[in-house]
Amino acid sequence: MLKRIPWEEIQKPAYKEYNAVEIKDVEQEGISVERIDANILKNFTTDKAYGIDPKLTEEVEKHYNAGFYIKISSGKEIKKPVVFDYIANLQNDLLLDYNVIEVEPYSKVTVVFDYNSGEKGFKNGITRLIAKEGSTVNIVKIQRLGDDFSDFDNCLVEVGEKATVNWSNVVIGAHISAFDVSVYLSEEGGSFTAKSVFLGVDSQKYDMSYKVYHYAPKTTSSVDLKGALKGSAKATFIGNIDIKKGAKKAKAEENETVLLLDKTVRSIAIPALYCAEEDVQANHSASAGQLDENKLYYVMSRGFSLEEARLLMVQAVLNPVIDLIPYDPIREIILRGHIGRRIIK
Amino acid sequence: MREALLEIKDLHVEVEDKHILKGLNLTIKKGEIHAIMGPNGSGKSTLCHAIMGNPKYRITGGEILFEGENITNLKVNERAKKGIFLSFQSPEEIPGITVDNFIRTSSTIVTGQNMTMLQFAKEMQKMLELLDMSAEYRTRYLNVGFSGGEKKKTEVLQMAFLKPKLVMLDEIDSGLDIDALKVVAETIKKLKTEDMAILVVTHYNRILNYLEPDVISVLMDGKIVKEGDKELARVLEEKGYDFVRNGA
Repeated sequence: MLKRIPWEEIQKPAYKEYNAVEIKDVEQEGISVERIDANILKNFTTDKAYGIDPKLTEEVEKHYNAGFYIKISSGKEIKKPVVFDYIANLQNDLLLDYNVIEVEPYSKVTVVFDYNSGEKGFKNGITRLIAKEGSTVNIVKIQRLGDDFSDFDNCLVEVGEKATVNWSNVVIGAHISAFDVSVYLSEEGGSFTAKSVFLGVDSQKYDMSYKVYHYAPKTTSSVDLKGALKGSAKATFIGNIDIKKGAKKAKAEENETVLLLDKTVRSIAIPALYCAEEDVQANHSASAGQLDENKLYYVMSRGFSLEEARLLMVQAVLNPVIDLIPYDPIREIILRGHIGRRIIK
Repeated sequence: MREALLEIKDLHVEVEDKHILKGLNLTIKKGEIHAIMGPNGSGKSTLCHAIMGNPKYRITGGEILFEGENITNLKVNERAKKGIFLSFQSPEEIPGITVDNFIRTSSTIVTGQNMTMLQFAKEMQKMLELLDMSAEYRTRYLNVGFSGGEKKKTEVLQMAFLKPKLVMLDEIDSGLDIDALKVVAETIKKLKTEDMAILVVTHYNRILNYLEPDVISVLMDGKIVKEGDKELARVLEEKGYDFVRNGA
């Protein structure tokens, strides 16, 4: 069992149903959405390793109580982002969601998962993405659950030939939150880009991991994680790049930047690069630092108080990713609500 | 005789334990354009930052009065709200915050007036035209990827919205080509109200030809050593600072 997760702190409600998901803009040509079930799932068995911990993926496989099979037909461009709004509340405080997104060749789609609200509860989910040849898929996962939630998100991404997957995690909620995104670039020319952000305050604990496996030639990957920590928040970032023999001319990069707002926060970055092929380009870097005093002074010289200036600097780190959220109402709520409230108390 | 806006008395400032300003006295009157000239390292920028309140510049003696009030211990943002504005020599880049967002928020904080979207957009359009900048700047992140000249223009853009009483231009002319310098100087002149005072810090005469200062002070080794009018700038240009150093 993964030691980084404080399992003893996690409380889980008894098994129950979940019925509080709202789906937006699903009625577009080229999309079909069905509730997930065993019949569908039997077509998507996999032996690929993924997930935070086998215990967690197993739980979802056996006991899922929500989730969808989203299929995009071949050659379709879905104009509006499809949004799955997973709402938590007193009745719906246990969410075990299992989502499968299958994108047929040469299609384009953006899917947003917004896990939000509630106070106390437990969320554990699996998201599988199969992006076939030449497709372009944008996935945004927003986690803004209540302060006493435990949240786990296990993602498996399979990128087809010359397919492009752009992925964003926005992590700002829950007490304990962990995700793993395992990416398989098994076909030539496949590309995966992650741009993600987190904001941890008080005693929030985050565990974030991207594992990118390059199997095929000319595959590219880029993982960029930015965040800020305040109070006694703690964040661990695992970034594994694994370039297998035969993945000639693969390119991989990985970067983590964390803003430390208090001396009491903890930030751990564990980047790792495994490379069995010589003809590749791979880079990784991690940096953690305090607020730049010169920037703070500049901002304060325009009237912002120290607290306001700190908030602005946090926004400055998070905005470039939040600006990518293709759904305006959520972006506004995050910018005006969540971030401000957590920095200025 | 106009009343004093800023009075600096016997100011001593240390930066990283280095004594930079050593008993500086200076008065700037309302509405005055006052140039400070001096060789490299004489303390010109230090003076600007000490007036703005940068905590890295430690005031070890003397006082700064603004409109008669002692502001020596006020925080940077409180000084900004009183109407002090510094156009930075090297403006900071703030990725993630657009020019529009930054200026709109800061002008609300400093002026206490909340402009409507429409008023703001109108005013912004007018200012961008004056500064010969394209509207595209509004949605760009503040100073990120801007050239030296664009950064300086953006400082003037901010000045326009913050409506300060005292504007300090710390080498506004560096990084500007001749055309841009002219645009910037003319915009500043248009923005200058009757009561607004401008403190121009520069090495060169060029900007002074446009701004036409009422007073020129020479800062050397942490003190104001000479005061004069436009003519002094011309003499300095011709003879160099040695002319002052040698006690002329």
